[in-house]
Amino acid sequence: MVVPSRHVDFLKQPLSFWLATASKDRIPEPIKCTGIAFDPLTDIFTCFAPLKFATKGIKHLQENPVISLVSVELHTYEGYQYKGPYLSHRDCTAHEVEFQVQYLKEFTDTLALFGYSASGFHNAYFHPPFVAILFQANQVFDQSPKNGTGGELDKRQL
Amino acid sequence: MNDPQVKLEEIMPALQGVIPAIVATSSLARIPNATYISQVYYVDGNHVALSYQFFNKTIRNVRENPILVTIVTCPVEYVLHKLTLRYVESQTSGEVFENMSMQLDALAIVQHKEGIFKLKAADIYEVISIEKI
Repeated sequence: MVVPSRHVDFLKQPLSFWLATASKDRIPEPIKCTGIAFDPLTDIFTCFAPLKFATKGIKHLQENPVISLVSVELHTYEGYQYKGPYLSHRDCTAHEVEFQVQYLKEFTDTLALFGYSASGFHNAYFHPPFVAILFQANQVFDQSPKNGTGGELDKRQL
Repeated sequence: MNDPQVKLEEIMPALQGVIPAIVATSSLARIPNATYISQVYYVDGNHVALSYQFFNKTIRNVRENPILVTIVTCPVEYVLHKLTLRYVESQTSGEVFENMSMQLDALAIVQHKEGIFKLKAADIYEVISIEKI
C-alpha cells in the first residue's frame, strides 16, 4: 500500500478535489471532482465528477491511462497528490449521486466560511449526470505549500 | 486561436486572485499533474502570468512541455473558464513581476500566509484558447 493510513481520515473531509489527465499529445486536462471514495485495502480511488467536466479527460484516459488526483484541505492548505493507472469509468449509482450532493453541501459550506457564495459554487459544480472514474494510486506526493514541496512521500514512513 | 466568444478582458474578475485557480500540466512522459495557484495575472490581451512560488512539478513540466491548462472562477458570477496556455518565459524583475509580488503579498496577509507566498518568478504564458465550461 502506498497511501499512508492517516490519509484515510484526511480524505473523508470535504476537501477540494481535482483530477488531471493528459492526452497522447501531452495536452493536460483538469477535471473538477465532486467527491471521492477511497479503499485503503487496495489504494483504489473512485472519483466522482460531472460528465460535462470529465468528457475530454475520459477520452485522454483511453489513450494515456494515467491519472492524478490532488486533494487540499481549505483551512490549512495541507495537500497531497495521488497518481496511478486508470482502471475504468462508469455512470454513478443513485447512492453515489446522493453522496455527491452531501459532499458538495459540506464543501460549499466550508467555502462560505471564507466569504464565498455557497450557492454560487454549488451551481458551478453541480451538473448531473455524474461519472465515477477509478484509479489505483501507486505514488503519493506532498503538496502542502512550503519550500521544497512536491516530493514523493517516503514509503518507509507510511 | 482564441475563442472569439470569450476575450481575456471579459473574465477580468476571475483574474484578481479572489478564488485560487487550478492548473494542470503534463510531463514529457505524459504524467499529468494538478495544483492550485494563487492567481492568474492579466498581462495583456494575449498573455497572462502565473506565479512561480513553490509548485516544483508544475515548473518542471512546463519547462519540458510548455502547454498548461488552468481553470479560473469568477467570484461574482461563479462561472468557470478554462484557459489553455503556452509557456513563453520566466521573469524575475520588471513591472509584471513587481505587481504580481505586491498582489501576492496582499493575498498572503489576507490569508495569514505571510512568507509562504513569496514570489520567485512571474511565468509568462501566451493564451491559446479560452472556453467557458
